[in-house]
Amino acid sequence: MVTANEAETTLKTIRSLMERATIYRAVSANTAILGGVLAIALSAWGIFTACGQGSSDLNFVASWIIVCIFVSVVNAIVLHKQAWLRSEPFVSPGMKLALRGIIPPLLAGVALTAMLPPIPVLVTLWMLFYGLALLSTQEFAPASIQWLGRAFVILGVLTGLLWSLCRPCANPLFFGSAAMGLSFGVLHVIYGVTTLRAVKAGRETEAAA
Amino acid sequence: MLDFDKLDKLIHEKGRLSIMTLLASRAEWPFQELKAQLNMSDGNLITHLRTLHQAGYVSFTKEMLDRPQTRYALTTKGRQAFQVYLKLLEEIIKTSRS
Repeated sequence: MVTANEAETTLKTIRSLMERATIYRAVSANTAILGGVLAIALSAWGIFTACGQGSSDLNFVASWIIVCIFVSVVNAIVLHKQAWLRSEPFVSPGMKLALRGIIPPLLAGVALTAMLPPIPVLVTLWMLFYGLALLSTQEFAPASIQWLGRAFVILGVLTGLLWSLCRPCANPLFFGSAAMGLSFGVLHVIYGVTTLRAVKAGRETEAAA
Repeated sequence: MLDFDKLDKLIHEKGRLSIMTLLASRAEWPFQELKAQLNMSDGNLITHLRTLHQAGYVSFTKEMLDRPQTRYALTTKGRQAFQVYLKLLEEIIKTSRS
């Protein structure tokens, strides 16, 4: 005879097994911290040189694209290593699902970047599209990724609103650098640190970090 | 009154329950991925899969990629049996609470 306690334990086991099998973390916690620190450093440099002669919209876009490519490559290497440690293929069903959700908003962001809108508008678009890309994985992403996505969308909207108020008096490069540091810098560091803490406390699985 | 004997003994065994749970979460699973996820030995996993296959709960396909690979999936009968099993567990909890 199966008792209620045994039934409850069995259902919990089933749920945790299913979550482990279906949850996919597209942004590794360690890479998020690295990316966040790089973003804060680049943002600080941008703020410091915003009024200098060497600063231009093109330099701003180019330097952030280089950081984005570098961090994406590191993220891919880390995800590959984690998959290898679990004896799973790098391009797993979870990754395929994640890519299917992430690629359209990211491509939209790339297309709009090519049009070179004013820097504060561009930064707003980057935040919104990145946030939407993360949210597109929410059906199978851990809660921390969903929170990160929501934070980017909210901060993106606030940045757009703030720029519409500050436009007459603020330096666009200064504003853009500060917004990038706060979003891609600080949010990623918070996400990375809280995820690693959750893994240590056993609230999230090591494989997903 | 609940009939506890209705609980599928074939699924209720710990190892087979884990296998059924994973198979229910995706369309199909390669043997190596199942093994890694469940941390089972080859022999143990094969035995459980064979039992489930004989009951008609699990089907498999063999394919030749760079090496032979066997993929496992739940059959319609297996999926239905798993759903009935889950419902019965929920019923047991509800009955004990009411």
